[in-house]
Amino acid sequence: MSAARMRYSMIISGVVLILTLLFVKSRVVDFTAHERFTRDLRRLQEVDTTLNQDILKVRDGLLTYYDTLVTASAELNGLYHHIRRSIPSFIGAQGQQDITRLLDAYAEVLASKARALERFKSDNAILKNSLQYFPLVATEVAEEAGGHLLEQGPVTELKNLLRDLLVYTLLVREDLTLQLQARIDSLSHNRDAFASAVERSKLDTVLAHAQTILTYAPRVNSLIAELLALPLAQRSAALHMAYNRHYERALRTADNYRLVLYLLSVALLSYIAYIIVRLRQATQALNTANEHLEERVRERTAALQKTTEQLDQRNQMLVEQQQRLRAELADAAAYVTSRLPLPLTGDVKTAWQYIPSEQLGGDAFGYHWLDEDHLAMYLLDVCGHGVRAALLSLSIANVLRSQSLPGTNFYEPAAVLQALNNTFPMEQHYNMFFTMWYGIYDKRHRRIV
Amino acid sequence: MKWWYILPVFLLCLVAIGLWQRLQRAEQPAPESVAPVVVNPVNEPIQAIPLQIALNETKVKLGEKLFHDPRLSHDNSVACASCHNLQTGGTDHRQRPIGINGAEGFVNAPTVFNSGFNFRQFWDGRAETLEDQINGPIQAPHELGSNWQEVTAKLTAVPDYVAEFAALYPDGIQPHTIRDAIATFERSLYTSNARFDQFLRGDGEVLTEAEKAGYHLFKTYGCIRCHQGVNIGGNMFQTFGIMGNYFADRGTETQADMGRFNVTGDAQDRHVFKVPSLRNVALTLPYFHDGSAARLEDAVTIMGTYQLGRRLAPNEVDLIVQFLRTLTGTYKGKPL
Repeated sequence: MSAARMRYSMIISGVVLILTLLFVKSRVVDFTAHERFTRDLRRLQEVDTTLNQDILKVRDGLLTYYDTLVTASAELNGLYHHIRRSIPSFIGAQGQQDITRLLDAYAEVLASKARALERFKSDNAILKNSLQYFPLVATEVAEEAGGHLLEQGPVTELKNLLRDLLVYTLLVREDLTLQLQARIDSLSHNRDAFASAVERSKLDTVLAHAQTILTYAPRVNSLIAELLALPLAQRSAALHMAYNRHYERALRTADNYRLVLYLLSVALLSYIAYIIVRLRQATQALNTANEHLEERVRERTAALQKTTEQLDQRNQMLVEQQQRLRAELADAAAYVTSRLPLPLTGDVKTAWQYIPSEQLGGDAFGYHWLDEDHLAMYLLDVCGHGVRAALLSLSIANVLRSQSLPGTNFYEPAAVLQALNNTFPMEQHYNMFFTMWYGIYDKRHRRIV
Repeated sequence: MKWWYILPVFLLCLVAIGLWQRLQRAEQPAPESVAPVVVNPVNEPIQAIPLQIALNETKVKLGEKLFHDPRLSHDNSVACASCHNLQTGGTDHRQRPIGINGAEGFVNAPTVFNSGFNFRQFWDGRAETLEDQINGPIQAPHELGSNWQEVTAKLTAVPDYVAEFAALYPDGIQPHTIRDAIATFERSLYTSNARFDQFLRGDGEVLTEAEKAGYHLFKTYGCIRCHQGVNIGGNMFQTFGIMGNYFADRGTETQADMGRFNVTGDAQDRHVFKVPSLRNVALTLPYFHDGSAARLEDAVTIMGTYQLGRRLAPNEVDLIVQFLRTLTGTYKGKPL
């Protein structure tokens, strides 16, 4: 794997990781858990309200059994423990701490309420029993004593106690407490006044119940006051508010993550779009470059063709030139050949074959009659070949044929050769020289000189 | 350059995960909830026991087996049922129960019938739940004298138990699963359809005139102040000896006589006990935490004196007792 590829895959995994993280963070608020938790919190308040109503019903005798109090109390306890266990996990550490602290505060009040409730149940039972029995037994004793006793003072006192105690409980007249206590004490001291009429233990029962009412009525009242005053509702409201605050915070955080996720996705999509656009542009550029390349190839090909044509033309010219030269050479050669003597017929017969090594050669020969008897014959060879040699040999042959060497006896070969040697010195003739044979045939004498 | 295809694919995956999560949420099973005991309220201080209470029958069966299994005691001699005999009103008819090695307990064994309706367990209410309560007798040296380690080890050695627990509990045999099974069984020990409950449900003919008179006395004489609700007691605490000093009159006060004080240490809780249920009271002799009253009549008389501050005449006691006998219910369709 190349370094660039490695870098790419690392960037991709990074982006994927960040997106996953944002996605998870944006979905952190579990609405089912929130629903359950708030339902429990609401239920906590409902149950507490019902409990308070039932407590009042019990006091007023509208509810004659405690099962509903027990159920409500147990439900509060159960709810509290359930709430404590099920604080939604999307609530941050600070929130968990806050809620736990408030739950501790709630539990404290809940325990106080449970304790007060138990006392209320017990004390209320005792008070209600005495309230039910005291008027009966007090009336009974008063009537019994009233029928027998001459001194009605204590009986009246007992009747007054009954009346005041009932007023005391019915109207919650706690200001009567001391007065009532004094009445009970005085009756208790004057128990002997009833001795002849009523059984002592019966009077004791009356006084015991009176004392019970006097003791338990304020207790029950203060227990009810305490039960209703305990800030359970406030604590659960505080709990609810704190939870809502942290819930909203969690929502906001999740929203922020969602926003970032959204922005990142948009950025990512734009980037992808950008890449697509760039790819397209690159393809276009490539296509354009491709077209240019063809054009250039065409141009170059054209130029090359032109050059080739020119070359061909030149070649053609050269060939033509060469042909012309060759033709000229051939003309020259034909001329050279034409200058050769025709074969002789008569007394002296000649025959020859002339094959130059090139079209033109430096070789030449000739013969001609100097007179009737004398035939001059010669053969010469100019050094080298070609036009130069041919021209020289033709000149020499012409000189010989026209016998134009002044003062020279053409019957004398030595004199001819000497004269030719003088006429065509090598230095004046392009460093060309020639070798030559020259002879005379004397027909008469039949000898060659 | 195929890499950028991964990103749209990944975005698709996110959408898929979102949808999947939504489906998952819908699939979540509703948590198993114990159906609350519905009592049809009648305009009386006493409420009838429901005729049917829905419970996991398999757990009940397992709990019943455990309840009768002496292996829950240290020396395999005592079971829960030894002192809470279902044949004798859920009690042992002894003043104080006998545990392992012949050790005698400190308080009278209360009936196990209808204990599910009690707001607390034990005479002093130290256990909040039946599950809690089970820890007591298992570990008390004078009762089953064992411990959870020993009990779980013994039960784990029994293949039947291993299979039965495995079928009910993912955790298998554990102290809390043993407690759950036994407590579930105990909740099944409700005695519905007592004659008095039939009366509460509107059948006026089911009680005799004397029984109705007894109930009237029970209410007007104040017994009803504490013995009320579905369990006719078992839903509050009360001091024993409100209108007189019961313990001084009886003599030799014991630690157990301190009652709830032993739990809270609060002076106000001295001699405070859980008000016991009067369901099946005719069968649960002897009476009180000290088992001092052998006859129901004695118990009623003592209650009148020390709790109500009333001297009850013998005929009144008799009427009240007649009423109390109508509180005997049925278990599994048969009278106790």
